[in-house]
Amino acid sequence: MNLSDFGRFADPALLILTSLADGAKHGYAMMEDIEKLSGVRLGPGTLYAALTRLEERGLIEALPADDRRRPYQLTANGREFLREQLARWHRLTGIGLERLAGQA
Amino acid sequence: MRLIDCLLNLYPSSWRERYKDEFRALLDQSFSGRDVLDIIGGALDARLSPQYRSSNGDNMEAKRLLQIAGGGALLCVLLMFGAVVNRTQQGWFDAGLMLMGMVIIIPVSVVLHIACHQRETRKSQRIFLLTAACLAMGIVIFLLLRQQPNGDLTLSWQHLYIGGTFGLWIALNSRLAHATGLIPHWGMSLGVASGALWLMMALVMVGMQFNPMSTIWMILIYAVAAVWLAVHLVWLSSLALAVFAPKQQLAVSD
Repeated sequence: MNLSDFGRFADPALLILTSLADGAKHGYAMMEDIEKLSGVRLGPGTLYAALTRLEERGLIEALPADDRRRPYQLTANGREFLREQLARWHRLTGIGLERLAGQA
Repeated sequence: MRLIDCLLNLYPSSWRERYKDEFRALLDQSFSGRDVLDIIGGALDARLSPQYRSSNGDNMEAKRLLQIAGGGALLCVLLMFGAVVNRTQQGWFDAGLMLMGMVIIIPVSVVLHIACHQRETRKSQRIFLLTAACLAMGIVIFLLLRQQPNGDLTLSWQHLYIGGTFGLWIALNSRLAHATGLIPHWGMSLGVASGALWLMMALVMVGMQFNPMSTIWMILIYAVAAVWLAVHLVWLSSLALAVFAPKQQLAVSD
């Protein structure tokens, strides 16, 4: 599976997975956390479009609802997938910074 | 909040069954005007998603047959409708054949529909009522026209175009009014959409009695047409937004 499989929801999906990396959260907590983390405010429609795709692919799972709010957590596959994606970004960031330093 | 309920109604029913409560809880905590287009985009995305387009347990083979039969029935209805609207002086035989086609195709469609949606009996009842009403209306109009001295019918591609345009108008407006929760009852939304079309046509016909058409009628007709255009522009732009919206920008903070 690749992040590009999520189409235009690739970036929201990565942000959601990152937000869930430190524990289960419900929709509103995810929105808040993602805004704090990245400066991006995901709209509710975008958030749930990405959530449904992540759930379909078995990367996250729903926990029993707390009142009406339902928390989500990473599955083992989701954790592994996030690790791979972040490692890829980490490599890319390192290469970019090295190249910039070489130009200076 | 009424607006939130309207927006939630834009999502497919199977999506709502699974996510409605938690989505509603999220919107109760955080909702602003700028979220409206985002939610409309999300709803259209869900509607375009194959997962929410069909229910589990549907009979796909029967569904395919239903689509073919439904297409045939729709063609007949549109042809009849167009022919009635744009009546000419030539033969009525083709119209009779089309009516016979409807008599055969519509019950077949209903049976197939029940086979497809075994778990959705209410949907089957609705489609049965709608098709029965269409058929009854078609027969009544046909018989009334036959009673008139110059009541002959002929069918052509022009009629299909006219009937198709009107049929789409009614279907789109009915769906829009129902999906947005403006008219929650399915049958009523169809009735209002059809009524609005006939009202517009009546306005035009009454206006045509005057020569030249009086200014007030023209203003009224243009006003109705402007509202119609505005509604459809919103609908189409939402669709375009859902399909072609730019990706979210990722800005990782320090």
